[in-house]
Amino acid sequence: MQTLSAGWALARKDLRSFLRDRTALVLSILVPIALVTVFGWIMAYAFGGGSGGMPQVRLRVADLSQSKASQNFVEALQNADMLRVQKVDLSNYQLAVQDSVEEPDGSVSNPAQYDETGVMKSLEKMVTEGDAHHILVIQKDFADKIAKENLPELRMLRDPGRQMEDRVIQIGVMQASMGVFGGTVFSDAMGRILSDQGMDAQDISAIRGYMDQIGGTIESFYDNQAEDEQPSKEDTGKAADENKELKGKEEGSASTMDSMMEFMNQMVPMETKDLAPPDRGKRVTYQQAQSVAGMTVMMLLFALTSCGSVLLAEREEGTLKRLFAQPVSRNSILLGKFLFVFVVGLGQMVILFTYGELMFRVGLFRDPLTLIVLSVTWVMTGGAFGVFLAAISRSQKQAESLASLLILIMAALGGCWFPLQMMNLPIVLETVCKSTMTYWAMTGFQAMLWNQQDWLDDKILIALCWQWGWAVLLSFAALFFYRRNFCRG
Amino acid sequence: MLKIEELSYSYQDRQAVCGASFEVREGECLGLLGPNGAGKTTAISCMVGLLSAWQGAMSWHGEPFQPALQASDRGQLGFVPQEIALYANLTAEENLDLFGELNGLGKAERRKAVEKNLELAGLVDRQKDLVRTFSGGMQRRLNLAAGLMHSPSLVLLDEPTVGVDPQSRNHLFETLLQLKADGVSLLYTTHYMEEAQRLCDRIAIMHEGSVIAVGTPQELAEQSGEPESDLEEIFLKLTGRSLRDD
Repeated sequence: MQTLSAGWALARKDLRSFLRDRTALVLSILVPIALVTVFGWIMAYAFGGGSGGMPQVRLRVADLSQSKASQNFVEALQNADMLRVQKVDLSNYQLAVQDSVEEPDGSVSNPAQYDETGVMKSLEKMVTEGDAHHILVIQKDFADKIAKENLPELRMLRDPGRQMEDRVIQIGVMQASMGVFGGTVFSDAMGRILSDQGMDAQDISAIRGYMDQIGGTIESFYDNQAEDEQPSKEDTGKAADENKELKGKEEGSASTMDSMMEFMNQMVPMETKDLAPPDRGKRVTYQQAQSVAGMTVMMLLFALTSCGSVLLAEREEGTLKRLFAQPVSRNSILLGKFLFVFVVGLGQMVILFTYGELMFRVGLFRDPLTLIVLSVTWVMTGGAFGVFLAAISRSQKQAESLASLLILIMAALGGCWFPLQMMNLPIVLETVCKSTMTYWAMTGFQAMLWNQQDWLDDKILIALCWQWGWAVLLSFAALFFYRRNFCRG
Repeated sequence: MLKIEELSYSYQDRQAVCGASFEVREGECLGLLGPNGAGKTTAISCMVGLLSAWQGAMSWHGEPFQPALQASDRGQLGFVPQEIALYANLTAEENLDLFGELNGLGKAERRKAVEKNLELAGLVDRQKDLVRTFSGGMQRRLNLAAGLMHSPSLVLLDEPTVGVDPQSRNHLFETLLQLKADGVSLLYTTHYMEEAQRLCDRIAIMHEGSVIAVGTPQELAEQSGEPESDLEEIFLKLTGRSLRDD
């Protein structure tokens, strides 16, 4: 038989065999479809806000002014393409419910009064604990300042480690400020400053004319800037030569942007307060903490499902039959698999975290107890998942295919690959993400690594409860399917 | 010793064992012979507790015997499955130690049992080697030794000599004869008639799920009406000459 015809005969044999293995056939179609769908969504929401436009960054806004002017400003922020604005509910801090009255000049008499100390304390806690990375505080005299043609002062509480988001937010806030304050507020403010310093009215009027012109130019510059931002980000995936060229442009653009931001920061007075947990290492970046946690959570799932499939290997090799004939209970055999997966998982956790710490110094061992609690919990949850997969699968091959499919999807949805905080997810998809066990594992590890929380803090406790819930559910399901698929006869 | 009465078992739509009755007596070797698909392995699976939904009755020294439900009942028996059911990445010693531990032997007892059974299997000099490095014959010998770790008084052997070279087969045979001499009862399934003739005191022939004849080879020959026939001829006469495909 010639080489080609022999090769074709063997290929036909493999094709027949492949087509007759219905599970493998379905999975070979289902896995890519499912992955393309999930990653398509995630990428779209990560880098295009779901609409393919600018990446959207979440900005919380605390409006202490509660005036028409502040509402206009919030609306302008909401209209900024790159921001996803969420108002902070301050009703708990309102001292007395009273009707505020807006005067014809735009100022507000009898404004809502808040326990400002309480509000600020609560907002700072939100940032420190990682519930928000940026909170813009609109001061209570916002409307008065606008009415008196003064520039209102804003206050930004931010996590200094979230630099990527910071830049986007600065652009968004400036865009909104330009729209709301308009050229006249800036020029009026400048005119008043110059008048106070003794300049005569004619000169001031001339300068204000220039100022209005400059304001218009700057406004159109930022409009163009927002449009230009999109292609420069998209082009990052192109060929290496184009990348080099673009990189040069981006560097130049970044430098110009920094200068402009500095200028605009003076024009839009904003007091910035950096809030980071005191123990967080200065060299740690959010991306590093995300990578170490994300990869550990995902890779451990792969390892644990692989260990769980030992049950199937034992069945295929005939040793399970022999174990069933021993004077030990069937449940103890399943327990043995759980314990095996658990010990291997813990060992892998230790190795991965030690390596992560040595490489990136992310402060993993700052709080050993929290690390242990989180690790044990995730190993239990992942182990239960691994044994469950083995219990529902007919063969090791099927278990491996199912594991690849489910783990990659859960990793993407749970935020192991990209932080979910930077995504503008619709509520349905957000709920789906939050229902995955990977999401809660990531939440716990991120709260420990980035926000330096310990295991008794609410956020970690909730994450632990969810994971234990999953662990218990999967363990019972694994027991049920084990008894049905392995022990029945 | 172990009495099986009217044992029946069905796999969904197929009746594998249908009212089979036989008894393994103290110190004897009972050969369970039958063509492929006769129900021998299913019957053994019911006896060692791998299958639970059987009908009929089993008794151990006159007491009800429920191996699928009672771990202690399973502990009475030694089981040597048809497959090489060993852990390839463990050493011979570790494999034996594991089965000793699962059968409730203490550390000192296990050490003694491991030594004894390694010697029985002729693997003392390979005790520290991984099983995956063993030949088929060595694995078969160890497979038998693993079923003897807790010194059971009855050992169920499901075709223990399949695929081994004559030397290992002979060694296995010698081992079984030694066990018999030590008073251990054996239930032995095989397709090799000369093995059954050499080893078994009595033979039970299974056909289509039922035991159609039980007795010594001589009694079976007499029952068949041809006293001069050998076991193979009797077997073919009782079970037919048509091919069995399952």
